[in-house]
Amino acid sequence: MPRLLRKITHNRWELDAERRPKWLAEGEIPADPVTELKTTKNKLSVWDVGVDLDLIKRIAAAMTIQSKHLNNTFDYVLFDSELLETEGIEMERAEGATCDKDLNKRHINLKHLSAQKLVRLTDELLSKSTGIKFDRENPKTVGEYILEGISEGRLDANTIPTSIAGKLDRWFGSKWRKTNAKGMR
Amino acid sequence: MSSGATIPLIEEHVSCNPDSNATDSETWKSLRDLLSHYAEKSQRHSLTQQSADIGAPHVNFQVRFLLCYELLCKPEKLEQHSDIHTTKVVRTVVDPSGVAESCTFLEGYIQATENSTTQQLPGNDVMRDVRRVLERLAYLDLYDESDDESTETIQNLIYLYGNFGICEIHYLIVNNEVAPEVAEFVLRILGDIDHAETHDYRRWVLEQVLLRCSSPDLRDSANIGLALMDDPKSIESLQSAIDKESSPFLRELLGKTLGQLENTKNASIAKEDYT
Repeated sequence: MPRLLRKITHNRWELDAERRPKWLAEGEIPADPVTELKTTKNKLSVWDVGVDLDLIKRIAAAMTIQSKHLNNTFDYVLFDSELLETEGIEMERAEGATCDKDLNKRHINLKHLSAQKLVRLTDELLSKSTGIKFDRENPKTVGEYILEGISEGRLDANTIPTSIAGKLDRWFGSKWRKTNAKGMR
Repeated sequence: MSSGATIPLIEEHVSCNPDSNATDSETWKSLRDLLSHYAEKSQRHSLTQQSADIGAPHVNFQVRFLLCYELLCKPEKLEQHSDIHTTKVVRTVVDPSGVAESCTFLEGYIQATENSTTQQLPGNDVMRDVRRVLERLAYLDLYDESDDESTETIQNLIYLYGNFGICEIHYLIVNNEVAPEVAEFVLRILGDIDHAETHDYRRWVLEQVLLRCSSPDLRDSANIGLALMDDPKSIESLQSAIDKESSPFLRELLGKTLGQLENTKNASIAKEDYT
């Protein structure tokens, strides 16, 4: 059973006593988390991390490079694909488009999504029931994953955007410069 | 002269000299002398009472800043006046636990001004510009990570006004005078910007928001800002924030940042030992 990852922004998903809007009626969910599950052609992009949680590092690194920014956290939610069966949501393998070619094979689209299905999925995720986990990687930690990716030859140093390279230089200094020089060869 | 006349007098002093450039060093110094004069006459208590009113936007930035300076540089006096915690000025920059650090940066600024014949201090421009920029950001989708233009605008504001700009940003954030999403965005940039001159004050502002803001979203944004800044000097504040954090999830996230800063500190120590 695949374990799926979707990138999100945490503060849109937190509904504890302090954050739950006062105007929100009992049993309703706010609109913001629904808009975080942005679809294209009624498909929602997720990643299959299986049981290998190390893949999260690779996804964080690859998606950050793709976004060209390392100025925010990598927030995500993990959930079991079983949840989709309950909601009647179908999955299809679809090659990802990141700079980590092997990782791209782990990309999945949730397809044939109606608005109702999307709202139900959001509701399920907000319930934070068993098998659903919200977590975060700090920007510098993602930077370490990028360095690892380059060292292991999965990521090409030439594809690192200047803005990200600047941050890596600030945080890791000589370690980054050595990794970068090696990766450029 | 009664202490009740102090603030109007200072305001008058500023408003009467608009053409002579109220932001020049001479005016700044004379204002400070004026303030010191009343402070020395043991009228500080009344002064702090009055400072409750001077956080209003119409009041000259210098007056607000000067009062903060005076309060900050005499930390022992603060303890005698618990009422000052309720004032807008105090909520802006004055806080007993942060006094020592704040004094450092403020004193640095005053000294820099006194030693410089050319430096012009920002006056009301800083208030107007910071407010205008933050208001404009409220119309943008700041969740769009590729919004380089907004990031650059805030960065330029800080490059231009330095600690004065940050003082105003802090004031607007803690007094809820900016949209929450703008405040969250700006706090992250405060941690992200690479600007040595304002580093310590930005760190202090982020720590204050983390420790004292009632909004968990703002506390989290300050946490992200501190993670981006990656300065081990924030370890103690993060530890305190974890101890008092009411949200279990946010506590977990603060723990991640704390772990990161401890690693940075250890790496730095190891590097020093090696060299």
